[in-house]
Order: sequence, then structure tokens, then C-alpha cells
Amino acid sequence: MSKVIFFETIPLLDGIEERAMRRMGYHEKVLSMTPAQKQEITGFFSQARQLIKLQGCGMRIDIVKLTDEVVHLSTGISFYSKALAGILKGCSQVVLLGATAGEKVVESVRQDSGVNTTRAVVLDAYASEAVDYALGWIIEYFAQEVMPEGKRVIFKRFSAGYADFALDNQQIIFNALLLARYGVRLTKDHILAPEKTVTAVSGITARNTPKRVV
Amino acid sequence: MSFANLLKKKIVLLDGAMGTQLHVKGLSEGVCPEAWCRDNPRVLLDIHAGYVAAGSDIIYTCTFGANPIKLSNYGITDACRLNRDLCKLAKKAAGTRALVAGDIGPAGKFIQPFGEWDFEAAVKAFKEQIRGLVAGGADLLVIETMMDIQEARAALIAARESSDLPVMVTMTFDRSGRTLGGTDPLSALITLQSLGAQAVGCNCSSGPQDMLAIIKQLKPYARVPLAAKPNAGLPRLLGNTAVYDLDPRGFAAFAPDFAAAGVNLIGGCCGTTPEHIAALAARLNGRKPRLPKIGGLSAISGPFGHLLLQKNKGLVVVGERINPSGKKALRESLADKDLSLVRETARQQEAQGAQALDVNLSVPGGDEPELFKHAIKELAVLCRVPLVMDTCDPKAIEAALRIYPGRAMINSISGEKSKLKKLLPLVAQYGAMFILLPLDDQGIPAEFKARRAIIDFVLRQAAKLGITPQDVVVDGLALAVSAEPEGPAAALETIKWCQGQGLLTSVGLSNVSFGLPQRQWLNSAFLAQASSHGLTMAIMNPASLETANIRLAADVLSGRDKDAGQYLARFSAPQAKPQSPAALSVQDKISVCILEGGRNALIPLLDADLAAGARPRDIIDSVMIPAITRAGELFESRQYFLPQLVAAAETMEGGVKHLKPLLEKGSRDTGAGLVILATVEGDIHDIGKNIVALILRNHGFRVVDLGRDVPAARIVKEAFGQPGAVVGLSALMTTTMAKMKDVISLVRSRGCRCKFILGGAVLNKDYAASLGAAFAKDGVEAVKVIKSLINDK
Repeated sequence: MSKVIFFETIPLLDGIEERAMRRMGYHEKVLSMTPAQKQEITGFFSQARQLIKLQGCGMRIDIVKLTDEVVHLSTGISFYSKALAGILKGCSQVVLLGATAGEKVVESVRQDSGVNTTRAVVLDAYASEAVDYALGWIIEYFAQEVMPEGKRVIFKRFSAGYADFALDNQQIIFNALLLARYGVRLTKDHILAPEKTVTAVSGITARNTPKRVV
Repeated sequence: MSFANLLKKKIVLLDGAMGTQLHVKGLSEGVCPEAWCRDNPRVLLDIHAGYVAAGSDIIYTCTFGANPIKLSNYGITDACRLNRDLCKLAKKAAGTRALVAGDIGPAGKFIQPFGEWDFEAAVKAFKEQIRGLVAGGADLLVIETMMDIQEARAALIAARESSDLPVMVTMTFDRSGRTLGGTDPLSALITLQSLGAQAVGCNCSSGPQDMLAIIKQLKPYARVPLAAKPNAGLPRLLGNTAVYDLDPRGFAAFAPDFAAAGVNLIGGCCGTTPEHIAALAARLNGRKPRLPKIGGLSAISGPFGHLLLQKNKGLVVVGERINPSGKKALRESLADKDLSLVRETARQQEAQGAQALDVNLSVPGGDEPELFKHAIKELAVLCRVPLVMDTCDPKAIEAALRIYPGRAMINSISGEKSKLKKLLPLVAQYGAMFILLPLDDQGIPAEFKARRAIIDFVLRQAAKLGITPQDVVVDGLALAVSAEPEGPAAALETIKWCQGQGLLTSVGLSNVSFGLPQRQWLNSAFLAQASSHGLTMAIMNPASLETANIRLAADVLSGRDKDAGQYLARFSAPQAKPQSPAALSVQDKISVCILEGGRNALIPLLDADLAAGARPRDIIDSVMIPAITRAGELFESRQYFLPQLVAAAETMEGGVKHLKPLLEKGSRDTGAGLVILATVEGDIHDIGKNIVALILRNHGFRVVDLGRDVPAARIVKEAFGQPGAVVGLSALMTTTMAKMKDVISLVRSRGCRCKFILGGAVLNKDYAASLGAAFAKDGVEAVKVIKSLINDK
């Protein structure tokens, strides 16, 4: 079952603007904007949608052994992390996830910095929220896929570089997900480029006979 | 009894969950369910028999995952045979008591334009599965649990091209009320029923409560029976166990509401059992079905939205701008197969209020079918509104209709016999709407009577293929008044007659003004006239303010905008009262301009103030610095958010740049101090650092920005080269913030006593303090902290 599923176009639906606004510090109750400011930001969001190509991929891999410290997968991959092993307790599979907003938007942010920094800020926030949304979207895909199998996705996700899940695991995830397909690269320091690219690990519960709670 | 007859007779009872039952009966983890069932036929027969005994009128074959793609994951290559064998088992269990639906689930791959899987390859894969189900004796086919409308379409097209069996399609909608691919229930219904599904509905993902709302919403627009197969409540995790809240009684309690809402087929999905189905049967006993009442539906759809074309509703705007005629840049880019202008034009028209987009890609020598394929892949995922395919090329039309993930409209089909023969079957096959152009092989009739005859003829030909008048929009055929003075009158008469006949109408608005100056006035006047005759939609430039406003006004006057809701929404918004110029001094205007981020307005104001005798230094110190400080205060009190602060800072910076040459001549620039900024090695995220640099410069600091991914040695060298400078380091990630320690240690080991300030999303004051550095959470705070660091000297 360890095949990468590619999502060539993840739809950029409503809601990302609101999340980006909040990310930039928008508080509806206290904040005021002139119509011109509002129009400018709306315009930048629209440009962000044009620039972003939201793509991603994911794969399910069986867990062959799970200890308090290590997650051994059927493909030969082992993740050494207490924190990750902790959230995967009770899971029979991991889901590896990757998503990118593409090069164009990152390049625009870079070019805008110092020239039109306001636009850069808005594009950056939108792209950050878009890739985060994309990971959630891919998890939802797997959630729906496994439901008829009597399994659930745990929805928590964990990225390399957090807690004791070492950043060099990024290389393993990058290779497994074939992320180079989307023009994604890994720097010598294991940072994903283009900048608005994320990977994560989530889990799928072992199958249980569904129970009813009345 | 046939599927159709069964639906007339009763609310049809489907079966319940298969997966749940298989797990109970011993299906192990990691085993292919379909292969396991073939190897354990007794188990499968028992499950099927349980549902038949519970009262199911239709049972699903255990072939949900038996498509070639999913089976290949288990090394199974003969999908056709496995489907046939499992279908035969279902038939054996059903006997004469139930019909058997050949079950087709998602293949586990996303199809273009949403995934990488080629559309035709997907159709082929589904055909292989369907061959087996047909060979096994399925009475109907059911395509279920679809989360991507394009995959549902591929499976439906495969089904219709493989057999004459009835096909039911059910989508799965998540908590947002859309499929994962972003399709809402009504758009899905419009797309699937027009493409030939004999029943449409929803299954899985949610419980009866949510699904009931969907059935209620869909019923008025359904030409086909509606199906619901909810889970036994909302699944949730209890520890790591999936639990469902509804027992059979609780589940069946929704049955009367479903019946009242107009459901025609009902069963259960995950977590349901034969007991749930038996309980449903008991509650539905004797209830009469509500069969679909409408014969046709004038609506088009895309993956993310739909457009209902209704008489007596507001006039619909179809954007006309994706058309290379008279647009050199677009023509050239299309010739180069470059679709960037098409995308941009689509985006602009949507923003300007277009409710659908006309797409014309006709360029001399261009491969129109290929261009349409590419354009649809791009536009289908970009646009929220449906598309109108503007071409007469049958190959382009077929290419477009086959892959467009919605119900499209064709613009246009005339009474020309050879074209009718080719195009009407395509309309019927893909369930499209079309614009009927009242001209024929003899050309464009000057008189209305001849036009009417053509309309009647085309409608009769269409009816022979099952195309209803609701699938047709008649073009009023507005000819250029400059060449045909009677043309507009003939168009209006056509529109008026169609209105009387209950036919929808359209015009290509800009035709009427061709060859004349100031065309917007002619377009607007004609739009108002046509609207009063009942025009349904206009293919027009949505950017034209004149026609857009006339449209709104005409909708009010013709009673199509009830209570003038749309009109009021457009015009009754409080208009900002421009402050009297006399009320603000030039310096006040400079201050407001900075606060509101008016980057383009500041320079003329500064020049005006200079001309009035103000000194550049005074403008900066007394007007601009207080303004940017105020922006910072507003940001700190959350009355401003980041883009407002940055826009203010950029405005300020532009102003300072403008005044700086003048300062050097007549004033002294003391400067607030020197700051060296760098994002540490290994980190490429530097937008925060750039904002800090901008705000520091605003406040008079000289900033040396070393950029991002800067090695420690370079920072050390700069720190030594700039005695007295404050060094600011940024990092976004926990992994790179450790590099800050390296930089500070290296600097200290060389004996440099410069002061450090750190910033970045993952940092805090304690961490900075542990390295002997100051901390600022943002640019505004950085100004204060750096000032205090400098003053501490």
C-alpha cells in the first residue's frame, strides 16, 4: 500500500484569506481599515491566488514496530523520536504528507521585499496559510479514504525539526514522497525550498470493530 | 422489477455497511477485502443475505475497492474477473428479492486537473471494473463515496459507454458541506444528472442530520431520484477506537424526515448494520416516494460553483473578454500556447462580477481542441464560476465537454444542418446546455419570422435526442446597428417572443455597437431595452461600469431584483465623505497619508509643504516621525495589523528618500544609530527581518542588511568593522535558532563587546537572555529596544 498519491492541484477555497488576515494580526473587533487599504489587501490576496500553485502528495506506510522511542516502517524507514512515537501510539500506519505553494509566490515575495514590502507581507502570509491548509486537505483525503476500512486518521501531525524529531528526517520524507516532482529541493541544512513547502507525519489508527456509544 | 419501476413504487431501501461487517467476520488488517470475500464466499453471502432479510431492495456488490488501481496494490491484476465473481455472489444472495448494484468506489488516485492521473486512463480503468460487474449480472451500477467530481464523471462516462445499466452516483461531503475537491452538493447534482446519472445523492462522511439538509437543498433542482446513505452518526475517536453514536432506533428516527424531504433511495454507510436497515424499513413502511417533478433544469456548473438560469431573476453577466478577436496580445499568446493571459483575464472578470466566463480560443492556425484541453485544465481549477465554450469546432467542443469537470454551455449551435448533425449528439452525450443561434444555411434572417422558424426547427431536432427546451438559451442575435439599422429591433423581438414561450435568451452585447464610438452607451441602452423584454443573460464586458450599473437599474425596474436588494447592496453602502481640503493642513495630510499607507500620494504633499516654506528636517521630525510612531502605537494596540504597519513604513521610507537630498544640503542628519541585521546561516526565511529593517530605517537608524543564510564569520567581520553597531539576528526555525548561539559565541571569543538583539517566530525573551542578548517580538518593539541598547552605552 506504500504508493505516493499526487495531488496536482489542491483547490484554494474560501477561508484562506481569513486565516491569512488572522496570521497578520487582524482582530475584527478592534481593527479599522480604510476602503483603500481593504481594497489593496484584497487585491494582493487575488494576486497570491494567481501566483500559488498548491500541490502536494501523501502516502500511507505500515508501521511494523512501534516502541516508545522508535517508529519502524514497512519500507525500511525508521523514525527515532519519542514525541512522534507518542502521537502514533495505537496507529497501524503513518501518513507522510508534503505540500508546496510553488516557486512563483516565493520569488514574488523575494522580489517585493524592499520594493513593495506590503505586498510581500500579504503574499507571504497567504502562502503560509495555503500550504498549511494543503496539509490539512491531504489529511482529510486520507481520512475519507480510510473511513470505509474502519480506520481513522489521528489528525495530529508532526514535522521534522520539532521536539526530538530531528530535522535530518526531512531527507527521508523528501525522498519517500518524491517531492522533487514539484520542483522542491532540500538545502544542505535540510530546509525545504521553495520556502513555502512543508512536510509532516500523521497516523492512521489500527482497525477496530466500530462501537456504538448511545 | 426494474430499477425505474422500483423507484416509482416506493422509497427504495439500500443496504448498510459492508466494511464494518467484514471486520466483524474476521477480515484481517492489510488483506484485500475483495479477494478475501472471494476466498470466503460463505461470509459474503451471509452479509448480503442479512441485508436482504432486513428489507434491502438493492444490495451493493462487495467491489468498492475492486478497481484495477487499488487491486494492483495487492498484486491482483484481473480486476474484471474478481468483479464478476463477487457480483455473482451478490446475485446469488439477492435471488429475486433484491436488485444488485455493482459497486464502484474511488480508485485512490486524483484525476487531472486535480491529480496526475490522465482522464482517459481513469475512464479505461473504470471500464475494466464495469465489464466484470456487467458480466456478473449487475442490475444497476453505483458509483459511491466520490470526493472528486472529476473522478465521479470519469466513472459515470465509463459506465455509460460500457453498458445500458442505470447508474447511481453518490458523493461524499465533508464538514464544510463540500467534497474534498471543493464541490458543493448542488453543483455536483447539476453536473451528474446532466451527464446521465439516473440517481444522485450522498453517502459516508456524515450522519443523517447533515445528509438530510443536503437532500432538502437538492430536491427542488433534482431531475432524478435522490439517494442518501449516511453513517451511523458522526464517527469519532474514543481513544483509538472509531465509534458511531446512533443505534438502529436512533438512526431510523430520521427516516420520516428523509421521506418528507424527498429522498428516493436510503440506506446506511459506515457503522450501520442489518439492524439499522431493518429499523429503517419499519419506519418507512408505506411511505410514498416523492418523484422528481422537474423535466429540465437550466443550470451550468463547475467544480466549485454553479449558475442557475431562472426567468424573472437578475440578468446574468457572462464575461466576454477571453476572446482573441481584436486582442493582439491574447492572440499571440494563444498562438504560443501560453495561457497566462487567459488565466489573468479570467481572474479579472470574476473579480468584476462575471457569473460565468465565455471562452473563445480561436486563433488562425491554432489547434483549438488542444488549446481547449489545456485551458480547461487551467481554468477549471482557477475559476469559481462555470464556463461557456465558445467555438463551432465539433472536435474542440467534444474535447472540452469530455474533460470539463462540470456542466458547460456551448456557444453556439445554429440551424446549419451539417453542424446540427455533429453538435447536437455531443450536447446530448455530455448533457451540456447550448446557445441556439437563429441562423441557418441561408444565413442570418433579417426578419423575426424566419428566425422563429429556425428556433422551432433546432428545438425539434434537439428534442429527438432528449434535449429539453430548458437546456437551450436562444441568442437574440444582436447585429451591429451601424450595418443593420433594423438588427437591434429584430433581436428585441426574438427575445420578447422567447420570453413568451418560456425560453431563455442571450445576447452578445458588444455586437450591437460595433463600428461606433463610445460603445458603452449603445451597449447600455440596448441592455436596458433587452432586459425589459426578459433577456436572461448577456455576454459582455463585466468591467464596463456603465453597463453593469444599467443592468442593476434595469433589474429593479423590470421587477427582477425583488425589493431592489442587489441595487441597494451596490449603491446604498455609505460613501466615504471626502474631508474638505480646507479641513486639513498639508502637514496633516502628510500625517494621514503615512498612517493610511498612501504611497503614491505622499510625494506631491511633501513638495507642496516644501513649496510653502517648510524645512525638510522639520517635516521629518515634526510630521513624519510622529506619524510613523503613531502607526506603531496603533499596531501595538492591535488597531492596525501588519500590512497597515508595513504600508505606513513604506510610505514613510519613500518620503524620506525624497527629502534626503534636500537634507544633505541644508541640514544635519544625526541618525539614530547603526544596526547590522542578518538571518542566520541555514535559514532562508527573512521577511520578518526585512520588515524590521524597514521600520528601523523609518526611525532614523542606518541599517546594514546582510541578508539571509549568513555565515557566522561574515557577521563577525561586519561587527568588527562597525564598532558601536547593534547586531540583530533572526531565525524562523527551532533548528536554526541554535546558530544564533554560534554567532554570539564567536563574536565574544574574538573580544567584541557589541550588543545583540534577537528576533523570530520561535524565539522568546528568555532564550535571548540566556545568550546575553536582547529580544524584540516585532519591528515596533525593536525600535524601542535598540534605542535603549544604544542609550545604555
